[in-house]
Amino acid sequence: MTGPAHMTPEEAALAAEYALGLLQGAERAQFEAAMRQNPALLGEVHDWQEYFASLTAEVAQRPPARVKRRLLRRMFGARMGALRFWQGLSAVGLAATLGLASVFVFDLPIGPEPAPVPAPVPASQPISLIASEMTAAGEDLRFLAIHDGQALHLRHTAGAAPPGRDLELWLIAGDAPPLSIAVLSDPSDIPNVTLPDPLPEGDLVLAVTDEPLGGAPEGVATGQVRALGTLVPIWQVWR
Amino acid sequence: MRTEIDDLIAQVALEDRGALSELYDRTSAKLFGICLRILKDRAAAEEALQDVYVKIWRHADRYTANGLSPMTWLIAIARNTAIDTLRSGHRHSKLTGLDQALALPAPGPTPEGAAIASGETRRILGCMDELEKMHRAAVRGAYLEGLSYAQLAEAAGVPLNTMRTWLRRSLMRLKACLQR
Repeated sequence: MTGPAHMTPEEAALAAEYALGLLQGAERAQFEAAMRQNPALLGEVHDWQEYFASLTAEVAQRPPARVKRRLLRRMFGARMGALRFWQGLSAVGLAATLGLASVFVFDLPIGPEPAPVPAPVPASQPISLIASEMTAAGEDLRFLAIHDGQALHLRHTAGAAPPGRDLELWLIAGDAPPLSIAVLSDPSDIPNVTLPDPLPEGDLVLAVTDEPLGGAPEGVATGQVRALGTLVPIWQVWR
Repeated sequence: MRTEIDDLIAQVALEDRGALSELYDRTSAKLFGICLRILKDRAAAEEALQDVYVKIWRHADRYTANGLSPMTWLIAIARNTAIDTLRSGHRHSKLTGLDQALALPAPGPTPEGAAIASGETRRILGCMDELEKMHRAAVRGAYLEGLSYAQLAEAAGVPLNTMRTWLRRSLMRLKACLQR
């Protein structure tokens, strides 16, 4: 324990009670004030927190999937629902390293219920989709993707493929397995590619994985997800 | 494990949504378990769990300075949120005094903290076992169930002051054991 010389036995007892959550009201406020003045008290509280945390060793209960959906919706708005995509990916063994892409959708209401999603535009009409930044947790790679209704324009903005690997672009629609779109042998020179027409139903997510040179064997992703982003209609981003 | 959770919290501090999502996947079972033990109501625990991650998102930048191991910090936020929900009867996702205290910089890394993080759980539980059964139950009840002195006293059928004397004595005995 930290610096017993700097606290009275009474204060040491209060620190333990505080860490247990047993102090309430004025007593709690008083102790918090004392703790701000006295680093030894704070250190004592921290030590107790570390000790008591061990008591949770056997405590665990997986929350239902809806809790995460609600949380992300509450925090980031209605279209932050790449969850189905995540779950789909785990089926092909990719989920472990996944992070959700930073796709920013402005002006959508953040609330307990999903914002009304406008009716889909028929695929035969020109439609612009954007993934403003494709990225993944812990990864350096960044891409910007714009689909203008005809072709997908993919621009590499940061990062590189691991040595001896090629990057490969995938389209994931809803719960369907990832569809190989292109092997990106040279990220600095990516040709425009076409997506299926009409576009598949459901949330459209672009993902970039690293694969053996030449691309994934048998068209099934085998590498880690290095970047991903949800394609959203451009008018949802800038309206 | 420790480093990875650390890294994820650091990325969350940079508003990396993917990192928050991964942190949730990695830690929500434990934090939900903690909320559920304290609140004993699934719906309330689900709400509290959301509040916990909102707090983590908002205050991850304060974590790096506080010197707690990452899981301890997350556990403390979950406990504080659940206990405050329990006692106030309504939710709030503001930082409580407890959270703020945890966000203050520590006086320096404590060797004890590092030892715990590297896995001395068994020693700690061993020290708990040295307490009298009723006293041990009181410490666990306070920490894991979020019980107040009044509730602990009622459960044990003793006056509140007696419970407080017991518990304080138990805590000091625990501290002596942990320092051996």
